[in-house]
Amino acid sequence: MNGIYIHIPFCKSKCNYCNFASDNYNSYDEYFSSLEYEIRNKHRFFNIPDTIYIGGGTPSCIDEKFILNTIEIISETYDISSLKEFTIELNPESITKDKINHYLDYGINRFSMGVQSFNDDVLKFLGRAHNSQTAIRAVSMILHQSRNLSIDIIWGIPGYFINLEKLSNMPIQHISAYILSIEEGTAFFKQGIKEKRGLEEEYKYVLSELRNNGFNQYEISNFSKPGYESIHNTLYWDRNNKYIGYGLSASGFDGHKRYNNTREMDLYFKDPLLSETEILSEKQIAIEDIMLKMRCVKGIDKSIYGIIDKDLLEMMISDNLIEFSNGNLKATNRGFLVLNEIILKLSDSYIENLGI
Amino acid sequence: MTKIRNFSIIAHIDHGKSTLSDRLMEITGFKKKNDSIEQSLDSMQVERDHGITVKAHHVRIPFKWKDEDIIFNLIDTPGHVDFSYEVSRSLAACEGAILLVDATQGVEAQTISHLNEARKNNLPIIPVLNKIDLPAADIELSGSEIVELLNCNENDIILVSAKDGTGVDELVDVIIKKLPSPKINADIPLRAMIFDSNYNSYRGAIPFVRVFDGSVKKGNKIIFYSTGDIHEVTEVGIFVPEMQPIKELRSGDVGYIICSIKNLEEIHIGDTIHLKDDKVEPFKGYKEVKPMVFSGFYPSYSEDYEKLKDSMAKLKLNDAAFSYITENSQALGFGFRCGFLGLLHMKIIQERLENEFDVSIVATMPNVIYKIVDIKGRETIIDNPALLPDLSRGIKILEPFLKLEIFTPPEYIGYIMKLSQDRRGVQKNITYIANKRVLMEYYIPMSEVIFDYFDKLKTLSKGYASMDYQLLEYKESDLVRLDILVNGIRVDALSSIVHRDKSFFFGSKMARKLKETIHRQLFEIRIQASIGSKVISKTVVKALRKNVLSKCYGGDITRKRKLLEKQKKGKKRMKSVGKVEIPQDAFLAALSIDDEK
Repeated sequence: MNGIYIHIPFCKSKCNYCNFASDNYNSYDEYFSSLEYEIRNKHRFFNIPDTIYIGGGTPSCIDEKFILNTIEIISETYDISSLKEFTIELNPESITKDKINHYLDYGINRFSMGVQSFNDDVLKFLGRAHNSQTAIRAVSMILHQSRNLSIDIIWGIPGYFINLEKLSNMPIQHISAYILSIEEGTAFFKQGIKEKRGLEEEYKYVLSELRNNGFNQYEISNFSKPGYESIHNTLYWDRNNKYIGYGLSASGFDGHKRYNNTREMDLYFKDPLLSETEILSEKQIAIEDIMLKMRCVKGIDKSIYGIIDKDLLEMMISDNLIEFSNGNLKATNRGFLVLNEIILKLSDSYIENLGI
Repeated sequence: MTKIRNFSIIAHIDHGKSTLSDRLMEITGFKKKNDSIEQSLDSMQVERDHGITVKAHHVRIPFKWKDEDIIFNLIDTPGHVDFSYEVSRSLAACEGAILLVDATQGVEAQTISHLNEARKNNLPIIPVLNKIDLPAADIELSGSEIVELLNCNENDIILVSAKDGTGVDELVDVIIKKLPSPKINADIPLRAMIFDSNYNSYRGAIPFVRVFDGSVKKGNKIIFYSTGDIHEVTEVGIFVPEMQPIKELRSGDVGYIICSIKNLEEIHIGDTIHLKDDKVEPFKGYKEVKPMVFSGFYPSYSEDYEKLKDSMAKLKLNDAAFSYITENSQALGFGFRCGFLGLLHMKIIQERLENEFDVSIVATMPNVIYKIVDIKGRETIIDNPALLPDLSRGIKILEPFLKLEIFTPPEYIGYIMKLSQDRRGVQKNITYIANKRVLMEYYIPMSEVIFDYFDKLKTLSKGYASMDYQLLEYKESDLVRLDILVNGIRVDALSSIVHRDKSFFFGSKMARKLKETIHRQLFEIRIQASIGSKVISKTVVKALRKNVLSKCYGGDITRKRKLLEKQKKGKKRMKSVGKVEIPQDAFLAALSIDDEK
């Protein structure tokens, strides 16, 4: 599989949990001409993409002519006749019927909207620009025009317990449910807000509500109705796939090496081809592979877990952190909450036994 | 006829010994101003950091004074309580001593203990008050302390400022007048005493000697009395302060003898050197130096084991008092059980390993040597608490006791009594000196002093109290082995030997301290402190609740992998017991346990 990612680093306002440098950019013309330069001149390691994903930032918050023009440039550069999935990210407050129609006309067939919560207090706390009513209206507006809508929600917010009752009236196809992480550089971090403790109950609730509404978990934070897993996101988690990223801070992977574009707007304007390439050691590849696979519900297969110490696996199984399922080894729900620790332990043993 | 004066300067740390040595060399025209002995002698990094002399440095100062040829052999003494035996041997090589007291500080405990050593050797003592140029100098008070200590006249005290040179001329006069010349026994068989030694990578281990009888020169065959080892002398020489060869060392001289000895361990401080074929009476006061404090040293990263081993071997070349043997701990892997003269000696070695050799180490809680005696009276030495067997009936356990001397202004007496009582100390004596200072004497188990007694003493006396100790004897105590179990597995490196009366308090504090140090992990961790099969305290580190990152798409993968790698690196420094990761700090947890109940 081959995927293209295009990054749009613009937002109307900055959310309290966001640490991306997205303030005060109004230099749309300059950005999109840099982006065009990058698309036309950057080395391509495939020509026929299976997926395109326009993310951000908030791609829907800017005049759609920029987006549509970029899509035209892509179609001039790549053969997009076999596209299986073409996603754009949206915010509830920045969409109109016309905008959606334009997107559809240009081949976009999947929408991912940052709803985050249906509770107005929580939305205010998070620093979002919309309220729950706007969100619900936006959901139904898109569902009128498309049958492929994903929404993002955030749970694990200190002082709140998520309520997903409203989901039952929403025939959406996909949900990404993220735990709130308080990262350095965010407003929350500066305010000294601490991450919520004791997430088990809330996680149980999220899982059961989503299951009851017909969503299957296929990755730690991703749930879908059958057949609506995100093809683009899934390709990131298998090192056999390739992707090319365009725009500020975007990344690409040619099957061996990954490059990361600069995160500085000034540098990007000076040289849109500026990126850092990382060549991974065998060890790093092993860590990454186990990390990506263990995040997925499918887990790791025998070729990997067969190399890991049996004692360690048994200990973790008896503590209900991992389990065998369909011949693969995967994290349990309890295990997902402490997945980093599990990945470290598994990859340590794997690396040691493989002698790399 | 040249007059030789062999003497030492007795002084507390920072009372100005090095500066006075500099000034003596200058005033005699031996060295130019600013050509500092301090810079050339206090050479080791740790010496500068701790402001103390670790290895002694000596100098021979030949000069003309009022038409007379004079030689001063200034014999340096190490500046810390851990090295008291070396101090006693250095003093035994002298005919006199200067008692140097900082007029702003007054007399300190260590000064008194060194003074007592000098008295044992019947050395005449010249009292000197230093730093009289400073506004804070209290000449009257410090002087009265000296008068009382030495039972001398106030007029006998020489007032100097080593910094600006005031009074140093007079001091030189007094040294020449008051200190005796060495007894010259030139025509009898060689008898020299080793008072120090050094290691040089080209020339091997070198004994520093004071020649009392006869003489020694290149080609002589000499014998070390304690070992019977025979060596051929390849060079003799003096300290300028660098080593300078001369033809012959004669009765009364201080110098070095090179005789291609590979290992510093073959040289014993206090030992007697004589010529092959002669029979002589050895010098009195010789002791074998034995380590008093032990600790396990383990590499922080197990792959550094070989590097640590090499580094310790190199250190050992310079420091015969430091000993080590390989040791294997279930918790810490391969490492070494190391023996030291005292806690400061341990710190010095630890710092040198880390600074000079760049190996990061985990040191376990230091402990003293215990002895167990079975019913038949057979004695076993225990230098590792984990190896103390369960004591069945009839088996006694003995621990070392010290004579601890504390010198303090009277206002801190109460605190010091409390601290010493808490540490099982028994007060033996209390003496007022010049009404402003008190000398307190305690009989106290060494194990209670080695951890942090000194730091505590300094804190509660605002830095005014000083201390010194001597090993007195081994005596039976009601001691138990306190074990720490993590998820049911005994962590050998965390075992300790404590007094039964304190075991409950100590055990619960240890358990609590470990709970603070050990981070949450995938599994719940039970920490227990136990004596034998009896659990005296337990606590639990709950299982980790969250360590996960929600989003992981294209641009996040590198960042997340790096974060995992960072967490992995942190874990590399951890030691695992069963499935529990224990941070290195935990192995020193006991050191930070307070006395408050």
